[in-house]
Amino acid sequence: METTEKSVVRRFYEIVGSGRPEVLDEVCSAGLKGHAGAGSDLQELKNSVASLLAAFPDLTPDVRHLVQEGDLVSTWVSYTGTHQADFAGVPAGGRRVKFAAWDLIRVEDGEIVEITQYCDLFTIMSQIGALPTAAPA
Amino acid sequence: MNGRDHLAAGSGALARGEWAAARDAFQQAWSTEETADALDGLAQALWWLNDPAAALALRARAFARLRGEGRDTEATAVAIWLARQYRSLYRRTQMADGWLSRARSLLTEVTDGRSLRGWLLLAESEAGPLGAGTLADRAVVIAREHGDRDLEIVALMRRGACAVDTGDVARGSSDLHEAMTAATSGEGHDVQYLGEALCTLLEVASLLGDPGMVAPWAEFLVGFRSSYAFGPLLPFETMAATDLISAFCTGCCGGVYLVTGRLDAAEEQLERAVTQMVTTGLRPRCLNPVADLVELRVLQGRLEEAEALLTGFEDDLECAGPAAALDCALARPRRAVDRLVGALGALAGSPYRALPLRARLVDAALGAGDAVLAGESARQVAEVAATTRTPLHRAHRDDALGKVALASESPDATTLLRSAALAFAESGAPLPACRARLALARSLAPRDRGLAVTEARSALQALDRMGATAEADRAAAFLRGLGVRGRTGPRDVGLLSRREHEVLGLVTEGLSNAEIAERLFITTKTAGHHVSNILTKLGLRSRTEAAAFALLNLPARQGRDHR
Repeated sequence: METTEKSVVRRFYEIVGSGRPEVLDEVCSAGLKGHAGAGSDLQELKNSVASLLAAFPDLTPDVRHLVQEGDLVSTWVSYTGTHQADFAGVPAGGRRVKFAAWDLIRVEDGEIVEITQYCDLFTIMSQIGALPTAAPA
Repeated sequence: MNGRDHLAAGSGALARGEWAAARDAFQQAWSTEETADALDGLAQALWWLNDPAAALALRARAFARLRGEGRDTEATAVAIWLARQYRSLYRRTQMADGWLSRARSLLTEVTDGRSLRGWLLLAESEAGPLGAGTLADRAVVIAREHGDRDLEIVALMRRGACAVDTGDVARGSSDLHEAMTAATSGEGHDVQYLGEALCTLLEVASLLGDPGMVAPWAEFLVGFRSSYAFGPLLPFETMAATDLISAFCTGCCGGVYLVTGRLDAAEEQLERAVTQMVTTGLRPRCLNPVADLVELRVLQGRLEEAEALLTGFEDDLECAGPAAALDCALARPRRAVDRLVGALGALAGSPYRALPLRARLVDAALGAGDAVLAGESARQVAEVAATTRTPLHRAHRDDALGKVALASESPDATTLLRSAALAFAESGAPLPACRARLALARSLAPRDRGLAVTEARSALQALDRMGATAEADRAAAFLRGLGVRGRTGPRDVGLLSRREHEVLGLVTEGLSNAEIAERLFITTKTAGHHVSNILTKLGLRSRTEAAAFALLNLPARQGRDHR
């Protein structure tokens, strides 16, 4: 059987995939602490998710690995989506993107209390055509 | 060469789609001998060479000569052709009706009319709005009796369009696809009717909000578009568009750009179309360019121009939607409601054509404070969406229900509006997607101000980019109401202070506020201020976006060279 912590984290990605960041309160503590891409608190985390969703409305996370040690869950997630609105000043070009992300998530009493997020921005920017030099020869 | 040879050369060229060669041959034939055939061939060549006014005038002369030569059967065919042309290209109904009567009375005297009765029925069907389709059905039967494939194709298309319009999508689609199969397999004789079939298919696809309908014919369409100039069916020549529908009919459909949010392209096409309509009377078959240009002007906030344009077209059914949008923009929603209710009465039997008006009625009714009417209208949109199940209609449904929910402060509003924004985006309609996103931001504002700001900024950015000034102003005002700056200037790292520059670099490295604070010997709170200032100045929504922006715009430092 899956642990509570792991199923909370899975639910987190389900919410991201459903495109409704406002529902993140369900799995996140109001006092959540964030690091790196996640922003520093729950509000910034929601903004971060919303900004990706705005640019890639069909964003779909595929949780490739999910491992746990104590209250810490670590994931490798592969995201796919279509570039349909501005991202970091790059206008929509309708291109498909696929990029990896790594999250480290602490779960206490069935709630996410801390999250650190990194994603492969370089790949995103290259796939949406913002880095012309990065195209393979 | 004698006249007969020239005529043969002209007919051959017409069959091969070599319009200029055909024109020259028929002109020579005419100068050798003034015959009805030379005149009629010349008319057809000119039609393809996009001079329909001359073509129609010449064919009318050919009609008289054919009658003079006692060739009444052929004269009848020409009369029917003229009736259909006057109706579809110019919407000159009196001329069209006149030629139709002419054809009808001639046909009673003709003994070898073959399928002409079917053509007449088709023209009579086209004289009315889409509807029962009984006339088109009889035309199909006659076409099959006489093995007239051109008529069969066009009449099947008409019958299919009628069926779809009255709500029978399955039967209609079956007709349309059968006709397209016949048309594209080369069963038809005259390529003009293939072009007509394509236009009808696109018309129905847009009626249903289902571009997928056209997909099976996509490759064929593009090939056809490049191998034949389209004559007056598609009067302009631009091939800049990427998606299929606009690749096929950029010419007549500035309206396509309106939906896809390319307002600059729309403006150019629509202005040309309106000018052409006013100067030559030639009008794209599937839309009234005035209606779309009014819509565009309202989006741009150029309301006075919109009002001026609309003069003389207020009662045009096609202009009801844009006119209502203008009413709403000019803060007279009651008038918009009356206008829309009137137009909807006229479209009672056409659920799909009524749908965009119903969707608009939701806005107008809410503006006029009539929640009951808005709710009723939204439910009707939902009913139609349930029968077509196309993404566009689904988007309209969620948008309408979401706005009604928002007005009654129901918690469902957020979910509905988000799903509307997604479905609009999915069906290639970014402009309504932005509007839905802005409504979504409004629904979020009482509970989740931060997220409301993020969503509104997304909408604002996209609206600004599309040039939908009035809508963008609305988004900016909403953001100011939330106490944040709406618009940002040019996005340039030069706008950042030295300190912010430094902070952006650290954000890019993935440092949290606490880590940045530690690195720069400032408090965490100050670090947070710097980060949010950076986002505001650059018009970005999150640290991830800021990092991505820095990747593109900050000079690469040692050890972080990306090449």
